[in-house]
Amino acid sequence: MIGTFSGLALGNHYQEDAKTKLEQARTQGELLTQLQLTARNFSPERTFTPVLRNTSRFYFRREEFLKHITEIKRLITQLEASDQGQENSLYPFLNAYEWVVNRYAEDVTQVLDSVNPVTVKPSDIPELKEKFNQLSTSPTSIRFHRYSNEMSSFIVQTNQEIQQAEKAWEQAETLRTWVIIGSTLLGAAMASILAIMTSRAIAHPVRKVTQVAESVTETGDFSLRVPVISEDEIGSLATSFNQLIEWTQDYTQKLQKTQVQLIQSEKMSSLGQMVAGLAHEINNPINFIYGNLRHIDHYLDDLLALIILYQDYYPVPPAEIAQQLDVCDLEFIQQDLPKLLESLRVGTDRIRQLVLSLRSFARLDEAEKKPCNLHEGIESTLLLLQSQFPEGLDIEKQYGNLPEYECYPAQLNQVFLNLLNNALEALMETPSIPRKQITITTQATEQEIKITIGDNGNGISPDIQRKLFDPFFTTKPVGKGTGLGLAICYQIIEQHHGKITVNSRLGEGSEFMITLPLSPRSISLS
Amino acid sequence: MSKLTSRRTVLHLLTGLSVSLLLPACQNSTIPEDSSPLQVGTNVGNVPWQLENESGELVGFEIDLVNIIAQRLDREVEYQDITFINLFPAVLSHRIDLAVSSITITKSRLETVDFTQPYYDSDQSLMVQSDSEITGLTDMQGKVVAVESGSTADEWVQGHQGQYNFKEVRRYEGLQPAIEDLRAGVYDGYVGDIPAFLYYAENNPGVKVVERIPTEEQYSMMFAKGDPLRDRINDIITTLKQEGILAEIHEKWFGSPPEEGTSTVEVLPIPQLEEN
Repeated sequence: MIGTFSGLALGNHYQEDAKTKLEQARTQGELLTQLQLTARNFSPERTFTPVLRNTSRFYFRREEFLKHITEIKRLITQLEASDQGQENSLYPFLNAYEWVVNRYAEDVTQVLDSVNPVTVKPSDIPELKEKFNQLSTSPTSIRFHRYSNEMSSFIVQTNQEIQQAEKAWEQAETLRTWVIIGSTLLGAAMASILAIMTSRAIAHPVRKVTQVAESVTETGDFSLRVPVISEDEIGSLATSFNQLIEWTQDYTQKLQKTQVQLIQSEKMSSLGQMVAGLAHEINNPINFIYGNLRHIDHYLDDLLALIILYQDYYPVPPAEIAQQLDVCDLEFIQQDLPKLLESLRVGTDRIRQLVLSLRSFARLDEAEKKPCNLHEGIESTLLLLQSQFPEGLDIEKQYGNLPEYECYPAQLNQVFLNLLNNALEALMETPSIPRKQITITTQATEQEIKITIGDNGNGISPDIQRKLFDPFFTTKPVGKGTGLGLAICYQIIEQHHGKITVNSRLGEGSEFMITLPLSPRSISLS
Repeated sequence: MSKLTSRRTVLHLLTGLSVSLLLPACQNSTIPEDSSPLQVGTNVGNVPWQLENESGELVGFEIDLVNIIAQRLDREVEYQDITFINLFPAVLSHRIDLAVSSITITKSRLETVDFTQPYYDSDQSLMVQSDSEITGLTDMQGKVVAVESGSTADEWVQGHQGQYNFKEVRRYEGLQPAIEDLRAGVYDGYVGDIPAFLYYAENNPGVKVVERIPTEEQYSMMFAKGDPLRDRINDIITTLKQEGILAEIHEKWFGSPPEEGTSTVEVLPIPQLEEN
C-alpha cells in the first residue's frame, strides 16, 4: 500500500515536473519563433527607398517598423520573464540583443527622421538611397541581423528541451507504472517473507519444545533442556517447559527415594520384628538354662561330695560297684564336670549377649526419639557382624566421651551397620592387605558429635565419590547390592540434621565421617 | 515481545529503504557539464591565432593555448568555425562555451560578455598592396578603407572617420577574403590587428604593413556573462604564465620570447567593468 501510494506520488511528482518543464519550453519556443519571425526581413533600404516620396505609405511603413521594434522589445521582455531560473540562461543574450535592438532602432529612426517625404525631390533620392544602403551595412545593422539569426540556435535548443521534457514525461509515466508494479511485488514478497519468518519464528521453537518433550518421554533423560533463544511468548513457553522437566525430575527422584525408604523401612521393620520375636523366644529358654546352671552346679557339687564321703566310709566297694567305677572313670568326671558346666555357662552367656544385641539393634520398642548411648549401638552392630570378620582383622576403637544422644537408635544402628558392612567388603575385596584394620573414632564437642568409620582398603576413586550417596548407585556386581545402603545412610543422617561425608584416597583406604549436631532441632521422620 | 517489536521495526526500515532506493533512480540524469567536450568558437584563418596548416589541421597560438587548457580541465575540445562578429551572439546563446579569436577586451564588450585576464598586448595597423604608394594613415584621406566587421578596427575606423576622412568603409568577414580584395585593388588600405598583419605579410607576397596604429589593446578569451568556467580557465592561464608555457607558445608562433612586463608574461587581474 505504502509502495503503491508512494509510487503514485513519485510518478505524479516527476510528471508534474516534466509538465512544468514542457510548458516552459513550449512557451519559450513560441516566443523565440515569434521574435525571430518579427526580427527577420528588417530591411530599411528595401522598405523605405520605394516610398520616399509617398507620404502616407512612408509614414505607414515607419509606423509598422516602430510597431515591429516595440513588438520585439515586448517579446524580449516576455522571454526574460519566462527565462527566470533556467539553467542555460538566455538572459545575457537577451540583454545584449536588447541593446543591439535599441541601437538599431535608434540608427534607423535617426535616418527616418532625416527624411521628410513631403519635401523630398526626385534629385534627392540617390543620396537618400545611399544613406539607407550605408545603414544596412553598418555594424549595428549587421549586429542586429546576426543576433536575430543567433536565435535559431535557441530555437534548436528549445526544441531539444521540448523533446527532453516529453521524454521525461514518458519516463515519469513509465516510472510511475514501474514503481507501482515494483512496490506491489515488493510488498507481496515482503509479506511472504514476513509470513515465512513469522511462522518459522513460531514453529521452530515450538518444534524444539516438542522434540525435547518427546525425547524426555522416550528416554527419561531429565537432563535435556529446551534452548531458550528469545524473550517472547515462545521463550517463556520454553522456560516453563524446562521448569516442568526440572520439577518432574525432582519429583521423580523424591518419589524414588521415598519408595526406596518405604521398602527399606518396611524390610527393616519386619526384620526387626522377626529379630525381636526370635530374641524374645530365645531369651526365655536361655534364661531357664542360665538360671538353672547355678543349681546344677550346686547339685553336682553336692553329689560329688556325697560320692567322696561314701568312698571314705566304704573304701572297699563290692565288686559290682568297683566294676561300675572303672567304667565311669569317676575321677575324670570329677575333673571334667566343672569345666563342662563352665563352658555351658559361657555358651549360654554368649547366647544371652546375642539376644540383647539383637534387641538393641532392632530397638522396636524404641520407635520414638530417645536419648541413647551411641557406643552401645556401634558395639551391638559389631557383635552382629562378628561372624563376617576376616581372619586377623584389627578393630581399633578410639572412643571419646560421648553424651547421651537424642535420636532414633534403630536408624542410627542401620547407618553403623551399612558403614561397617561396606568397610568389611572393602577389606575382603583386597586380600593382599597384610594388616586389615577398621578404625572407629568418636568424639564430641559442645556443638556436635563426630563418628568416623574407616578402613585401610583400596579406597574409592574420586569420580565414584561424587555419586556415592546417589540412590541405586553401586559398584557391586548385579544382584549383590541394591545401591541403596549409602543413600539410606545419607537420608537418615539428614533426618538427624547431620552430615555424612567421605574422605578416600585410592590405595590408602576410605573414611566416612558422620557429624551429628548436639541440641538438635526437632528431628522429623518423613 | 521485544523481539516481535524489533521485527516490526525491521519491516518499516525495509519499506523505507526500498522507497529510498527507488528515489535516486528517478532523478533526472543530467550529464555533468564537466565531462562534455569544450565547445570553442573561433574565426579560422585569423593568423597566427587560428589557421589550418597544410594537412588541414587546426593550429595557431590560441589553438595551442586552448588545447593545453582543455587538457588541464580533462575535457575534449570541439572547435566551431564562426565569423568574428558572430562569436558574440554565439557565446551569449551558449552555442559555444568560449570564443578565441584575438578578441580585444573593451569596455562596451564587458557590458555584455566576460573575459579572462589578457594574454597578449597588441595594436592596430595599416596594410596595403606592396606596390602601393600609401605610406601611412595620412595618405588614406579620401581612400576606401576595409576592416573586419564588428572588430576593434571597425570601431577605430568609425571613431577616426572625421580625422582621416576615409571615403568609404568596407566590412569583411575573415582575413582571407579581405586580403584577396586588397590584392585585387577593390579598396586601398586594410586596418586590423598588427600581429596578424605582420605574420601574414611575412609569409605571403603582395601586401605590406605600413603603419602601426597604437591602440594598446589586449587579447583575451570571451565567455557568456556569469559563466563560472571563466574563473577556472583564468586560473589555468595564471598557471601557464607562471610555468612559462605561454611564453613558449609565443616563441613558437612569433619566433621570439615575449617581452617582460607584457600580458603574455605577467599575471593580471580579471578585467572588470568599472562601476563609474
